[in-house]
Parts: sequence; structure tokens; C-alpha cells
Amino acid sequence: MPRELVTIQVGQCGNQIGCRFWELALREHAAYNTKGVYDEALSSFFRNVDTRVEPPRNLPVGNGHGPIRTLKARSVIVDMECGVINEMLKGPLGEVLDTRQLVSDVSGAGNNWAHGHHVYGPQYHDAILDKIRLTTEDCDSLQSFMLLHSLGGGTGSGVGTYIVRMLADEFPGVFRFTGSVFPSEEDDVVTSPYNALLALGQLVEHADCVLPIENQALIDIVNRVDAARERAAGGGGAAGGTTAAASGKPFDSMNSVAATLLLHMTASVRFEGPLNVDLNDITMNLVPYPRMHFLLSSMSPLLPPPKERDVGRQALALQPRTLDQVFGEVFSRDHQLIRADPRNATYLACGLIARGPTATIADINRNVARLRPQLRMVHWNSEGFKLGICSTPPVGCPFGLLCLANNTAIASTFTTMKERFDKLYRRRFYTHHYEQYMDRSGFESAMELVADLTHQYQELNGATRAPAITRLRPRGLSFLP
Amino acid sequence: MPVITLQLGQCGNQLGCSFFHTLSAELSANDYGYDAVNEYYRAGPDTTSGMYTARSVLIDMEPKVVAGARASATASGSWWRYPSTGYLVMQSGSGNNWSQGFHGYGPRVRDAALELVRREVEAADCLNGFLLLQSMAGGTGAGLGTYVAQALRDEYHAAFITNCCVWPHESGEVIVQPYNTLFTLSHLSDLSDGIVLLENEALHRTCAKLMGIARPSFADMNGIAARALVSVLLPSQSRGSYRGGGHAPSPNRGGAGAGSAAGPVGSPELQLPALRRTGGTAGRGVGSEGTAAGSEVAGPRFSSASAASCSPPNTSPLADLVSHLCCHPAYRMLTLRAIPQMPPSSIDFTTFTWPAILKRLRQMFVTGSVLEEGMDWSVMPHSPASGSAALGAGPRANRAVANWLVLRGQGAGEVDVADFADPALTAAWAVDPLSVSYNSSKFGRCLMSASLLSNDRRCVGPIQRMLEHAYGMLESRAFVHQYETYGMGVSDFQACFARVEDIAQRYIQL
Repeated sequence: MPRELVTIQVGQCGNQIGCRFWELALREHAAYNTKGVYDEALSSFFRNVDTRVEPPRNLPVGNGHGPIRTLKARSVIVDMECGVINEMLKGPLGEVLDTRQLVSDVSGAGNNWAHGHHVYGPQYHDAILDKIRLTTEDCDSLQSFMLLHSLGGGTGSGVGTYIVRMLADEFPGVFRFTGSVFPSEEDDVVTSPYNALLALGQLVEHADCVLPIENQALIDIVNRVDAARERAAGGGGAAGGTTAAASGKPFDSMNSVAATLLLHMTASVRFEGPLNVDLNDITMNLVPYPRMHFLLSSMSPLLPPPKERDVGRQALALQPRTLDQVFGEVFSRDHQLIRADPRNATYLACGLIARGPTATIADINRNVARLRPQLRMVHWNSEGFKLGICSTPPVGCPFGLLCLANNTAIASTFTTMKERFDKLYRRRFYTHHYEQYMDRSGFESAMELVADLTHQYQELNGATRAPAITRLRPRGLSFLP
Repeated sequence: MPVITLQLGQCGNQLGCSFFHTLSAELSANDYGYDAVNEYYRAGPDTTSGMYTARSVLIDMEPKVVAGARASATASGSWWRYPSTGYLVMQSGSGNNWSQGFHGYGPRVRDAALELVRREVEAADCLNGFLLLQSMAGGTGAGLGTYVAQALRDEYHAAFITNCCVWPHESGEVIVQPYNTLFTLSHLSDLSDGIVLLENEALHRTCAKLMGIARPSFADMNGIAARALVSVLLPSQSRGSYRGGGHAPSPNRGGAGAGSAAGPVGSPELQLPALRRTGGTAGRGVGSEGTAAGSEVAGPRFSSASAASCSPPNTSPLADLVSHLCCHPAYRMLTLRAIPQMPPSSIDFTTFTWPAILKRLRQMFVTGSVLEEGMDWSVMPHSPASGSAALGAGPRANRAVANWLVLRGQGAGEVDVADFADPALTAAWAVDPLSVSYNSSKFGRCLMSASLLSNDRRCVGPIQRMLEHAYGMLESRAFVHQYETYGMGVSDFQACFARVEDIAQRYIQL
């Protein structure tokens, strides 16, 4: 009966990432669970259901050797338009995802945060809460919620943040992690700056930990990987290279990166290792002040290797060759999931989770000692890294590394968002759409929250020199010579 | 006399598993007498099959590590197992949060944990004490471990409580380790009878430099720590305690071979402590040496003859430890040095001599190092009288409140330990500066080996470095809100830091 995670996928982007996540999770567990038993690792994400009886009965983990009947994902799916969901349910994931946990509407939120948050939110409050409660009652000891959504649209950002607030009220003891996709510069939604900032204001207040993911960064990563694979494939294998790129759906690779992030983060929860890191370890060690809970993530290898048929040099392109190389990559700008350079900013806290049977504490310490001089750490945490080792490597690669950093570079992301927001808000473009459903003070309060947080981060940005500290004098020993 | 071991948290459980494996290997290799086996293992669940159960309680706030430890005991095919129901696990882990372990989980699991301990205590005919294995940097081992120690102290007033605490890497394994470590230390200094500090950094360097392991893992480090602990906790026979003045009493030959272990030898200068340890008689000496090599899984060795002919043993290492070493309530920090530290493959090619071993061990103590090499041989101990004058000149030599030297191997009973009885090595006011005990059985295939458990100044360095970090964090109030959710305030932080400053200051003034 390990700790279960409930995933809540909201909106088109959230659902697409979610689908990819379930595919990759099944692949990972299938690779390590060769006997088809329903063990504790599987139970974090999936329920084992006996569908022969009506109503279907959940089978418990027991001694960890019971056979798998039907796996159902512990997830709640919310979307205000049914297109994406229907496609999902028709595909291979139709059996894993339960229609019982689905909340949907017909017409969508029109890319309007206020419509999502103030209209659909309350309207579907009971339905969503009901489904979430059903899912949590199937769990023995729920540890956290994982919300997947984007901030630029209407449903993902509006309904998503409404759900975060609801979870904070109804389930206060359970962690709320969010994987939030920040809109990029060239986003095709015009009002995305408004949606993003308003959603961000909610996340600052109600989420426990936010993992920002920027679309532009994902695009860059995927392009780089494709280019490297094509180069490795060479001229002769160009046909193979392009078909591999074109056969997947356009956002597949990008969603894979985001999904892999979640798998790495929960690896130590599901699999064992010499130094386990739980999700509450992450929030404890990487969140020094209550509102500064935005973690930059980076990992290596970024993409899971292509499927078995693509073996050879093409598959090995951009796969790291040594563990030391992995450490160097993880701190570089290219591997971050948002467009920020953490090396130019100050690290408040950094967590490293290594995966693989060959990773030892000596390797991690050696690499940390090697790389730390190049990083700017805040003065009160000049040595501190949170380390974790999980024995199970990612699928297809002998080792992997995830780096979650609380870094002041996020302030630049917030500033960019604020600038885009200001460009529109200065002239009150499109605000009438929002004022149908909410007060203008909503804009003001969100702006204030985000500005405060940005200021907090910027203050800590240069704080690498320790001020003089008064120490306590030992008591009662002053008479000793 | 039985000792109950509590393994707390991930580190405690992994270290404890290693400890019991090493102990069982040593007990299989040499005959230490029935009481030695009885101290850490009890017969059962079914005595006919020769299976033993470790007297151990496993506690962790997440299930994977305990399951792993129990599985490894079963899978190793050895003659011992963990008790089938002697463990307590919860689901969510303590999140590296000391206050979650102490204030959050503590009261919740108190009854269940004490129940498990009570079952072990009732299975022991005469409880000697508790050995707690934990880390100081995490949430469960540190926070919940301290709570359990407090509960044990309330429940069992007369039992000894010894803690083996693992000090984290200086370069950081957990970001809030300064807070967690100092909270643990400040609370344990009141509760515990002796705190053995095992430093991850030192273990790591031992593995890397001396054992020839290029990339040490936690399993390797646990192996070394377990070996050092076992070398001290296995039975040994006292050779007496040495008062200051460099006076070396004649070695106590009476108890070694003749089988009558009772009664003091009539040498007037020798002051024998009232409690003596009997480790077995001559009957086991030669025979077990010869057959030690072959048997791997044959079970612990003891001949019934040895149990009968000894006078009833009424001591144990824990009692010796507390009464000789930790005689002052403000000085409880112990350092463990065990040599030789060499890879197993080199043992057969090494020549062991007692003078060499003792000289190295003495210099390790004088420089305060825990590693057998890289010591500064120019550091000399200076006598307490000239203490203040020598403060400015060069590195200060280490000084202890008391030392306990355990010698194992051929001729251990006759070795001259006058070097260790040098009064410059211990404080001027030391009551019982050196106690020596020995056992003629080989330890870990080494012909001769020695361990030194000392109540000395080595802890000061790590404590001060940790205090620096902690002050820095507290000044900026970093991570404080995580502890405040469980009811700790900034004043609690400051009180703990003050207590730890006290501890460090006392040792500096030694």
C-alpha cells in the first residue's frame, strides 16, 4: 500500500500531456514488471480492477503477487470540449482511462480564464469534486495530486486553477503539484498573457509546488534532438529519420518530455533505492519560503529513446554516454524546461535525483563538487543539495538524472509574462471579455501577487554574501579559563 | 545480557541490516559463547531448525526500506531472521522534516512502537539496554528516532540507551540537514547514555582511500561502520583499568586460559573494575580457530561447556561503555576508531604486529583522525598542565575524557598498552582514563585488530561547521515555515542551537 498519486488533467494541453504520460508510465512499468503482478509500484498510478463482476471491483495490492486483471489509471479528466477526450478514449488508452472519471462539456471555455474560473468552475464544482472524491476513496493513503494543464488557454488555466483552490479547501493534507505549461511568445492565443497571469496569481496562493514548462523550450529541445538524430542517421538513413519524426503527432515529442519529467520525479516513490526521495521531501527541501515554490526542472536524457525498431546510431544520438556527462548536461541551459539560464541566476535550493543501478553516492558527490563552483548559490545554502538515488533506470537508458532547482531565474520568466500582460492591459484590449464574468480588481490582485513574488526572487538573486551573524554564547561556562 | 536494537529510518535500517549480517558472520566464524549470541539474537521461532531471530525492532515511515531489510535477511540464507511482526511502517515518510517526525508522527506511533519494544523486552530474560541506529539529517531517523528515545527513557528508566548516529556528508545530502542534525543532537544529549558518531564523510574516505573502492556506495559505507561497531560490541575480557602515571600493571593472565574466570588476581596495584566480562574458556580457543575457516552458514558457535564453566556473566559492552566512558552528563559524544582498515584481499598478505597497530591507533587518536593513513605524525600530546601555553603552537592534540581499547587477536591479552595510559591523552580530571579489554579470537580474519572508543574532541569540528550553516539559514528564516507547521518556533531553534554550543564548548575546554 504505497503512496498513491492522483492525476488531474484539465484542458486540451493537459489532456494531451496526460495521455502521453499514461503511455510512458505503462511502458516503464511493463519493462520492470515482467511477471505481470500487481505490485506496489503499479499501485501508485493504477488500480487493479476485476471487470468480470458488475459493478467492477477494485483488487487490493495484498502481498504484491496478485495478477493484473485490468489496470485503470487513477486520474480525473476534465475538459470543456469533448474533441480531445473522445480521441483519447477511442485510442489504445481507452481501457486504461475510465469514463467514470470524466467531466466534460460541449462548447469549451473560449480561451477565457474568467469563463473557465468563474463560470465553469462553480458550475461543475460538485461534479468534479465528486469524481475526485471517488478516486481518492479508491486510494489507501493518498500522497499528492498532480494537476496537468496549460496557463494560456481557458479551460486548463481557468478550471484548472479553480480545481487547485478547491483541493486546497477540501483536501488540505494532500500535496498539490502542478505541471503548468507556460505560453510562449508566439502563442496563437491572443489573450494568453491575461490567462497566464491570472492563473499564476492563483497558483502562487494555492499550489504547493509548481513545475513550469515552457512550450518554446520544449520546441527547441525537440528540434535539437531531431536534428541530432538526423545527423547521426546520416544521408543514407534520412528516410528513416524523417519518417520517425513525421510519424508521431506534432506535439508528441514535446508532451513526452513533460511526461518524462513526472515519471522521474515519482521514480523514487515507486521504486526502491539506496536514498529515497519522497514528494514531501521535495517540498520540504526545495521550498524555503511559503510562496517561492516554483521549481525549474531539467533532466537528462530528455527524450525516451525511440521504440525498439529504431536501433543503431540514430537511437543513440543524444543519449548520454557517461554519468558525469549527464550531470553537466542537467545544469546547462539547453536542458531546462523553461527558457531561462539558471547559471546566471542564484540557486536557492537544488535537488538531484539519479536513477540507475550504477549510480552511487560517490558519483553524485564527485559531480556536485565538480560543478558547484560554477553555480551561484544563495549564502545560506552554499553547500546544500538534496540528493536521491533510485535503483531503477529510465526505460532504454542505463542511467538518468533529474534536477529540480529553486532558482531566481524564474523571476525573468515572470517579468516577461508581466510585460506581455502590460502590453495588452495598458490599453484594456479584450478586457471586456473578462469583465463579463469577473471584476477588474481580479486583474489588479493577480498583478500584485505576481509582482510581490518576482520582487522576492529578485531580492534573493544577488544574495550570495552572508551578512554578519550573531551567534549565541554558551551559557554558564564563562568562568572556565 | 540482551540488547534490543532499534533501526530507525532508512539509514538506520540499512545500517542495522549490515550490522546484523556482520555480527552473524563473526559469531559463525568464532566461538564467543552462548551469551554473545543471546545478546543480539534469540532462539526461535522454532528452535529445532537452529534459526535465530534478531532482537530488533524496525521502524520507518515508508515501507520500502524495511521490506528490503527483511528480504535481505531471508535471502542471505543465514541462520538469523528479523522478527516476523517486529516492524512498524507508515506510508508517507517524514519528508526530511524533523518536526514532522518528532511532533507529527511521534505521538501517533508511540503506542505501537512501545508495544513492539515491550514484546522484545519480554522475550529477553534480563534487559541490558537499547541500541538505536539512526541518521541525524533526515526526518524519520532524526525526528521520530529522538521521540522514540524519549519514550524509551520514560518507559524503561533503568536501561541503557546508546545511540549510533550517522552524521551526514559535509557537502550536503539534505538541504535542511543543519537544522535536523542540531535538533537531534540537542535532544539526544539529554536522553542518551552515549552517542557514537559515525561520519559519512569519514566512512566515504575510508572506502575510497583505504579499502580501494573507487566509487563507494552506501552499502560499502554501512559495511565499514558495521564492522567497527561489531568489533567493539562483541564480547571481550577486561584487562583492568589504568590510572594515570603511566603505570602498567601486569597483564591479567588469570582469566585468559585457565577457565576460572571468577575472582580477582592478586596483584595489589591492579584495580579491577567490579564488573567483569567472561568470554569463554580455553576449551574453545584452539578448536574453533582450526575449524573457523570452513564453515559459512553453520550457525553461531558456542559449546555448552563454556557456558557452564564460566561464572555467570553480568556485564555487557553497553554497561562498560556507559560506566567507563560516559561518566559525566555533559560529555557523551563518542568516536569509534577500528583498525586495520584494509580491503579483504590484502589481509592474507599483511604482517600484523601489535606495536605497529597500537602505534597507529594512538596517533590516530592524538591527531583526532578516524582514518588509518594520512595522519600528521608531528602532532604530540601535551600534558594538561601545559595546556594553555601550548594552545597557540601548532595543531592541538586530541584529548579525551576516557578511552576504551579493545584488542582482538593473537596475544591480545599480553600486549603492552602503556602508550595509551599516557596522562597527556586524557583530561586531568578523568576518573577512569583507560580501560582495556581483549579477546583472543581473530576478528574479521585479521590476525590482530584493535578498536578504540573514546569520548573525545573529534565531534567539535563537524558540530561547529554545522552550526555555521544553521545560523546562516536561521538568520534568513529559510525553511522555518516548514517546521512551524508542526508547532516549532524560532525560539525552539535558538534553544537547540544554544545547547549544542554548550556541548561543543565543553569539549573545546577539555
